[in-house]
Amino acid sequence: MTARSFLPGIDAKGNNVPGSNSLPDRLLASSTVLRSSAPVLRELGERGRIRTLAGLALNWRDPEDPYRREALEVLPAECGLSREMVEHGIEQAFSVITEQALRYWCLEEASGKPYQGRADPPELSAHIWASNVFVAGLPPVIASLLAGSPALIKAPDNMPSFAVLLARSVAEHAPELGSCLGAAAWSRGDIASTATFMDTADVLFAFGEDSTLDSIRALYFRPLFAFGARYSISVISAGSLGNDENIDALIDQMAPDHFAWDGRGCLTPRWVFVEGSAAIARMLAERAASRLPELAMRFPAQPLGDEAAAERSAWLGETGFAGWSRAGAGWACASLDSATLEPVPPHRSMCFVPIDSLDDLPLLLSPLGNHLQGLSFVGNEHAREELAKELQGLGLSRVTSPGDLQRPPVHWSHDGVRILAAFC
Amino acid sequence: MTSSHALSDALHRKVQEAIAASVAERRWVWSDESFDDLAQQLFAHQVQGSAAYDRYCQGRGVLPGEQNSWLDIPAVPTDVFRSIDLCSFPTEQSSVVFKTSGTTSGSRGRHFLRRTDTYIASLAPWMCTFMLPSGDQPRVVVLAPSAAQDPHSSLSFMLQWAVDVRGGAGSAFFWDSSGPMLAEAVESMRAASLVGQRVLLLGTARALQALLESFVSGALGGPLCLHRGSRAMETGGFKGASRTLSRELFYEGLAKVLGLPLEAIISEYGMTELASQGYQPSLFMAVAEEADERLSRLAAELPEGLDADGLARCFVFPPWCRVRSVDPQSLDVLPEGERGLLRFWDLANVDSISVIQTADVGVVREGAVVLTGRSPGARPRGCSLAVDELLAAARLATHP
Repeated sequence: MTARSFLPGIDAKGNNVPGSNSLPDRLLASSTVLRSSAPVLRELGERGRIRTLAGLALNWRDPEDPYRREALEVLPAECGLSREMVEHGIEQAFSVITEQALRYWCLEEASGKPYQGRADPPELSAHIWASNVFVAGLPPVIASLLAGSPALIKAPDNMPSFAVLLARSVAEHAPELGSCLGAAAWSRGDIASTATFMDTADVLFAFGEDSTLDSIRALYFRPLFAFGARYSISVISAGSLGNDENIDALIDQMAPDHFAWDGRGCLTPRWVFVEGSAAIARMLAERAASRLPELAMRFPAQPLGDEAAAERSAWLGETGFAGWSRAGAGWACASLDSATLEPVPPHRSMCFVPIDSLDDLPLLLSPLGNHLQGLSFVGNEHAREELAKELQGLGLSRVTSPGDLQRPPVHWSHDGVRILAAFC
Repeated sequence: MTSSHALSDALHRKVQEAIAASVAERRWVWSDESFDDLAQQLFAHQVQGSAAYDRYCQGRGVLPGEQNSWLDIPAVPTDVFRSIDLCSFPTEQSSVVFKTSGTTSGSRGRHFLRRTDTYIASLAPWMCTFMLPSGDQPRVVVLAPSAAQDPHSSLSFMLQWAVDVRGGAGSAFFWDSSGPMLAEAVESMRAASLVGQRVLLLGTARALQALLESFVSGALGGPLCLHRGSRAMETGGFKGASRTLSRELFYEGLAKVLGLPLEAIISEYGMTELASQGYQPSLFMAVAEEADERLSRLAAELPEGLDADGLARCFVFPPWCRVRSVDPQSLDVLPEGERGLLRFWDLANVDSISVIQTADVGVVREGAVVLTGRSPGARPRGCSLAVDELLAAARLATHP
């Protein structure tokens, strides 16, 4: 079993912790050690940090890497994902951490800019991670180390392993970074640990439900960057569909966006809006139904819980009356006869919704506020740019071609936040 | 009378005759052939009578005469009854409309009935078999609204039938606008005990829990000692009724305060969208030797089919209402004994939809069901937005 914490400067039993050896005391003691490693990190220089972090990412992509292997052992059960999905997630997260990408990121957001108007970046950043999509919080941690700020992660109580394995791997594979990364898991109810954790940091990055983030905002008065729950969409503009072969290829391209993370990611498209008639939407759904059984097997689904199964069954029935629907093990698809967001599609589904015009989308999506994250677009460049502009007000921060939505680069401005610039 | 009404009436007659014959012969298992024959006729009628269902079945590529067996008839999830009127006649011709209890979205499922006689033909013999197995006419004490108080409740309709048709002297509903009239109900049951009259107490789980708690708090005086042969039926689902008691402890408590043996506390399973109900068989097993052996075996074979006292706690459905579990992922029918979502084929649903997909989870063997409930635990959501909650909130904001 993976340990629930890796706190630099603290021995396994916490015997060298001053005070009571409680988790708050250990966090406090480790934060001092982490802060003291900031000069080491900075002395390495930007180039050195880039090289080291890219090397760390390569280690994680190595099938023989012990941390990767351990992650593949423990994360499926911990995160409720198939081993294939966990592997895909690890590969996706670390494949974008290359020297080139990190250099680009620095150039775009950091180089030559003073940190908080000071010579040095924050001495310690804190990171609150959320459940399920276990790599979502990785880019801010990489940004922190890239900027020269040690980092401390609070992992979800029920999903400690990835954060702890990451911290251990940094200590082993990148000792030149010093004792720059710690991680621990505890429950929300452990207020003393959370308070200590937040007190220790100069800047906080938090992932979670909106209500959780609101509570954090009320308590934390230093720079805070919050990443809440979001949704994404796919759009197929009029006249962009080709022949049957093209349509099958399009479905094949789109499906990974819907299946990745079992549909739980903020970059998972919840609907596929089709500019055109209900008949076109139905045709696409039927084609999808013929392709998805095979495609779903590439991203095996975990068994549905009772609640989710009942909701999915209801959705299939309701869409069956409001249009057309089909499902199989690990996939579902439907088309609706009219432009509506309800019934809300379940995870691992493709729901094709006809819209008269792309111009209808902002109004149709308006009940969801400014929580739109990503747009996967099929159509010409001009229409794509126009629509992206229209959807900016709803929070849109990522526009891609089909199949690329769930593969954000490390420098993606998640929720519109320029993450590396946050350290500047 | 329209031709579709004539067809409907003919089907009502057929179903009623089949039920009556089954009851008269004490034939608790129907052959696949006879069940299939009737199921296919009803399917054809329902597709013909409901454009929505017709289109739904077309979408699934299953139409009358084209499917292999009753198992292939497309099922309609109960949630659909909240948004679509599913019946094979104009809704204004309904003699009664049963509605589900409200949900957070505010919409209620609707089950339209043109005729109620087949509904009664289904509920009556099965209730008599499991709640009145010795053919007696007890004092029926009801802790639920009457049909007049809640004309859209299928439960009230059923309980009203019990009071009107099978209730002995003193039978009544003990319910007013504030809820169950516990003191009056207890007084009525004490009166029955004094004159040696059997009692059939019928109530929702919530009302019976209130009764139990009032006894425990001393508000209703000492425990009852109902006359031998009395019994109680709990319905409406135990889930949510008690935050502190397990079902077993609830039953034990009820048995103690009513002065009944445990096997006389029976649970009923029914839902608005079905015309047939299931009952726990312990009382029936005590008086019907031929059923005892089969049901004992079934209950023993089902996981949790027997409670800690060895009493059968599975639900038994009539042979005209078949139930199977389906795979939660594929929604394919599962082999007997495997846990899944429950699907019903209720032949007493003549003019609505016979095949109902529920959100309940259980294990089925030879028509006996053990409800396992939905597994607890947080649903995985990740960082994807709870779109359904936002849309519901937006709807409420628009139509408070």
